[in-house]
Amino acid sequence: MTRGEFLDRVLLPLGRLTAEERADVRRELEEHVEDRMEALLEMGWSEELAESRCLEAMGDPVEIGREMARQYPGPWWLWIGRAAVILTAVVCIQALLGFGMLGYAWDSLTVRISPSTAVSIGELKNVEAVEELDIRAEVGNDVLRIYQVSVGEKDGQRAAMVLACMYDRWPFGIVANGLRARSELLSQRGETGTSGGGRGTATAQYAARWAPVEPGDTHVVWEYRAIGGTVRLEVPLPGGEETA
Amino acid sequence: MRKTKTLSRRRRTARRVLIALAALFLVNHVFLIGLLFPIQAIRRNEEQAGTGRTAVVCRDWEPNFRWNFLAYLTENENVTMLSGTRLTYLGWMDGFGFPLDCTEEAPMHCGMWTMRVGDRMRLYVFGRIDGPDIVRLKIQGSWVTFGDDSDLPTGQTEQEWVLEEGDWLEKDGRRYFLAAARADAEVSWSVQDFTVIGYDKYYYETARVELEQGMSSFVE
Amino acid sequence: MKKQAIEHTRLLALSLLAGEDMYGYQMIVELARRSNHTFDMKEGTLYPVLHGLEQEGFVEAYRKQAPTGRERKYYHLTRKGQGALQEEEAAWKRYSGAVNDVLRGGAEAEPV
Repeated sequence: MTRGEFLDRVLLPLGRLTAEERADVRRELEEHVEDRMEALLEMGWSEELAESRCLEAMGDPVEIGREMARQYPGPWWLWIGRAAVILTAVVCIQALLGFGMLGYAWDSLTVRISPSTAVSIGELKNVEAVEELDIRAEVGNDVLRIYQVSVGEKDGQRAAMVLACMYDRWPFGIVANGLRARSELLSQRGETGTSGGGRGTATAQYAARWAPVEPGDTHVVWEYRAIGGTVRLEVPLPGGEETA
Repeated sequence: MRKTKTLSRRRRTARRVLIALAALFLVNHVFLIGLLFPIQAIRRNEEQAGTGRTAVVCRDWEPNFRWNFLAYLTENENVTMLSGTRLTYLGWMDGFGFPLDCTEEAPMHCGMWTMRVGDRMRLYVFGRIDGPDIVRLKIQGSWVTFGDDSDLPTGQTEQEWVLEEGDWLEKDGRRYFLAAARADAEVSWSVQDFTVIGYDKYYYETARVELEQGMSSFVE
Repeated sequence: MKKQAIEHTRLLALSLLAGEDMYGYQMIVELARRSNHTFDMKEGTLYPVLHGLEQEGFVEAYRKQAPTGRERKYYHLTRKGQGALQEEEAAWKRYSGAVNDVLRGGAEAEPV
């Protein structure tokens, strides 16, 4: 029996192993024979004799092969691993094809960090005062945040405009839509302005609403109609009494 | 001293599974795609509608309308919602959801949702029955279909459903119903005058809701 | 009989690796040296044992350049493997102690 034949016999019962695993077994055994052969050749043995002596010392190839096959755990480990690889590949392809969806992640971050620079949704004329604020309310698992109030002129009247945004409790999470449609700004007398700007994506909502104000007003009220209740946030006007 | 490691089967599998789960998580939450299960898309619809957590009442699948589309009827105390999801190459996508606000006291809350894809239409009438004396429902209405570009209808269909005790769905101690119909319409269609009428056990009418055109969405 | 031989081999392999990382042939040579050639096992049978230990997580394998200059597959005892070694060592001591007791008991009984 030659070295090659010996190794082939060992590999025979190893059908269950992957090609890589089989190659590894073959190489390891071959290297062992190589080492043993070197020792014998150094002692003066001929190549032929050395090889047959080595292979004899190794043992029965079929035995070795069978025992080796028994050591590898069941096939379902392989199949789970392969399924995982396929899933990863599918997911990566989807990520590539849906690359544009990263915009939502970006929206989610900018609304949290700096809403006023992210988007421009409404402005007053002849602005007297502008104030950045941070008034928050929890609505379900979203956060409603008032981030700016300004006083100026709208449609010929003295008005206050409030900018608000809404995002999910968790970064990259999905927020309830319709912030603009469900919100209203009321003055102390319960008056409200017409229309208002807004913008919304799956992860970030922005809305601007205005209400007429008179000198001496201290605040306006943002109302958001959520399913299951209305949320009211009091927004102090910049300067307070000084808006006279 | 070069070193290359070999891994046992278990280690290899564990690593592959970990990578797959990490990739899935990343794509699901940052890219917002790649959802493996339709119910995940329904949860997204929930989030977008702002309804809060809802429970599934039933599912509807009509392969003749769209083989990859599923509609779910879900509910919680405040809301009854009908929403849909479709399977695309980017996984299950969230679609339109119609939340029906049920916070006000009323014997019945009803909604209607129509959808059209290509030359196929699907119509849903759904709702919640709160009136304890209502034991029977009749839903009636009609639609017209248009086969060519002119304003003349090419077909009119009357639709009526009668629902009784066994036809309703129970969830969390409340009663819900879902009725569906489908039609073919080459160019377009128009739904007319759908009404839901509730009857008590003596066949007296106790509640009536005129349904509005509701949501109409073009999937795809 | 064969199964016992394999189980002995596991214990021997684990204890050889407790000292340092080794490759298969190196282990055979070391085993012969330490036991004064008492263990005359078929050399090929060591490898299923090593692969079995690797799949179970008791040893880790990596390829590295040996002192001979060639690359060889080295085995390293993991922490889990150290625990297994301790267990098997303890089991062996119990077993061999019991055998010794029986033998001694037989020797003592004679004079009576």
